[in-house]
Amino acid sequence: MSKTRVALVGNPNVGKSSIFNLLTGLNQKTGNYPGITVDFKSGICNHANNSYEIVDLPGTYTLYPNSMDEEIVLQTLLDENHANFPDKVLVVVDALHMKRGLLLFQQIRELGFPTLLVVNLIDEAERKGINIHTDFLKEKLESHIVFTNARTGEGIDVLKSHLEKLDVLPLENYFEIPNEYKIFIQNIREDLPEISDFKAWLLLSQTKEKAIPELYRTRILAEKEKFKITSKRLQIVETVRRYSYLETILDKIVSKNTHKKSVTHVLDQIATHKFWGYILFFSILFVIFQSIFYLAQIPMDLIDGVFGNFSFWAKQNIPEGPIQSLIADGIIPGIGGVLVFIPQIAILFTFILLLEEVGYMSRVVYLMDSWLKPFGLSGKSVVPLMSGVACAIPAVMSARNIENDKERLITILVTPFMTCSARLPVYAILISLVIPKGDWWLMNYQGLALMALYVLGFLMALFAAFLLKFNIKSSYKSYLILDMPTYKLPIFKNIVFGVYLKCMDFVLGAGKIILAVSILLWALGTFGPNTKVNWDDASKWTGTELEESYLGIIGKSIEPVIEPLGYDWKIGIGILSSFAAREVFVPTMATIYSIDSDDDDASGLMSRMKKEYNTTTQQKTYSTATSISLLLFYAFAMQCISTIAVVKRETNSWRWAIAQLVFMTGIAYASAFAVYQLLS
Amino acid sequence: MYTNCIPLSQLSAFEKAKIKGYDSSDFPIKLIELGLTQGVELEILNKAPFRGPILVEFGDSQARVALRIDEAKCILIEKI
Repeated sequence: MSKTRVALVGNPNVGKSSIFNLLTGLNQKTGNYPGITVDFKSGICNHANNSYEIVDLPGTYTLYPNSMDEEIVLQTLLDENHANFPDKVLVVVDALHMKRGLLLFQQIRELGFPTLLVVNLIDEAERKGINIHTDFLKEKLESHIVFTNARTGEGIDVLKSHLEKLDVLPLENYFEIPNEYKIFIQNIREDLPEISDFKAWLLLSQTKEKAIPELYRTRILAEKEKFKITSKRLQIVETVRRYSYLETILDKIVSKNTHKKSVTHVLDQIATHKFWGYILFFSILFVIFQSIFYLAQIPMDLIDGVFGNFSFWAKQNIPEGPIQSLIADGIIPGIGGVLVFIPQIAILFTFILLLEEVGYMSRVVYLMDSWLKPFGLSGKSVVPLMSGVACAIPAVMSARNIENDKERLITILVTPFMTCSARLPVYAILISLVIPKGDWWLMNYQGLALMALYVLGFLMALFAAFLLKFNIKSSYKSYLILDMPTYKLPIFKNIVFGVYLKCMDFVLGAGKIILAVSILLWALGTFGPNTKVNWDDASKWTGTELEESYLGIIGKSIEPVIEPLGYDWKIGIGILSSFAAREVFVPTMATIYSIDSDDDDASGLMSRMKKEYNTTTQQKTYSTATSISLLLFYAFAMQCISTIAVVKRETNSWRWAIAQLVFMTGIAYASAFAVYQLLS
Repeated sequence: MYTNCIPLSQLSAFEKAKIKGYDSSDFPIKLIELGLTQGVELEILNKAPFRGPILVEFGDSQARVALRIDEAKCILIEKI
């Protein structure tokens, strides 16, 4: 027998994801800004010999989707053939905002699901002096109710014990279909007898064609067409009627003792202030970037050193031959190249997740909207743009919560210009080659250079958005309506697990590619058309000169194209392999230089790059001009297979994905060319 | 029907008002979904610079939303 599938549904910012974590123990990211639940998350919950599959759906206010995120909820609940169609539903509501939550609860129970009402954040309600009259609520809703505090885990066991006996709730219709529409509902039910009145109504009320499951689409569209039904009218009627009913009972459900100004009120006076609000936001950004360089330095040096020594040790202890070369020159530098950037990624995500947790992200959306609107973006683009600083893939997916098609498309297309963590490895090494160490007041030179690169990526994103604005048409009006959650103390467990998951994603996802590319590079760099390996006596094997290897041949053949940018053929190999993923550059260079070196030099990659000498130009390979040209190339070029794939999926077209690849790489080449010619 | 009403966009910061209705048939339904329905009392807490969004607190539960000026124009209110 298949597991009972339970869906978690609720408004945004009600702590749904925290409850998901508590139920499944499969700890996931949770957050306070819209769009955090970017895709289906599911986990297993075991209780009293039963096993349940819990599916966490994106946050929504009603079953009338305004964005792609909300469409996912509707499609899952309306389409019985959907892969995630649930057997039971838990509706999580915020004790501070019962009215909104109960509206959604009513809709879902009337769809006929066995439904349980979960009232979360009771701790906050108590602190605010809000009382919820459980008995009255139970009587009115004819439903079981569970109270939870996701911070302490209170109520979760009770919630689990309800899962088994959860049954279809009595269907007293809180919303009666208006008489003038009854005839259409009847018409539809004649052809689709398996659906209920309310489901027929809900289908008929959908404004977006693709929100209607394919199963019913033709029939519903025909009815709408025939009788000229304005779906939006239906939505308004239902929402207004439900709210006015809830209004009548709400006084008896919730009572409030205090009227003091909330903490949120005080904090918002600073966070959303015309002047101080921006100062606060930019200070936070500044602290983040300085921390990435300052705090990460020690663990990074440590990791770099350990792998350098490890490689040296391997050379001395493994018998000479191809195997020794593969391990010491291919695999160890490859793994080291991945792990060395974990400290920076961990710091960045700790900050981002912390800002989400406390509820600050929505304030940033509010502050930035009028700045981003002239560029064809929305305040909500801040979320993808800021996440893009970590990784473009989740960032592109988080654009799903932008309602307007045009703003969403532009956001997706420009987000990869933001400096993702995969660029950090490349930037970090190049910055330390050209920018001297030292401080100016409290600011670290290298930290400032890094911040300048982040700003550059952001400005390029804006510039590209501005160009796109005039070239993309939209049929929908753009709007911004954003719930501002109350500030909450962060749940540290959520942040720790979130950071852990992100780092693991990087190590396992990017790491796999990096390791594969490292081994491939080692093979191409070690063997050439004229290599003869005597496998019987491997100790006599010395490898091929890099220039005569396959890798050298490939590098040399592309040299004419990249020479005007100031790169030699070794860097060319690095750039080519970076088209799999940017961060591959560093381990690639590590592999190339360790193949190339004759002595058993155990020093790290950095000192090796400093020593590199270009025999043609009689200069250091990594001169200032070349390094800056490389920095610009990596800042602008689209070098990430996974991002191309996710853009294709999210825009549903190869056209945009390919246009983005060509556009970004073209800009990269042009600006790298210009800066090198100017500086050299 | 909507005499004495002004659009929410004309309200200044810290002023309080009551929602009387909606102006155009083209208003985003999300306003209603969030609970900005007829009869609800609200207060403008802040306005972002350069005609940016306005921050509105409304209802008994003191919910907060940010709206652009264009959306605020759709909401008809009466000062209190």
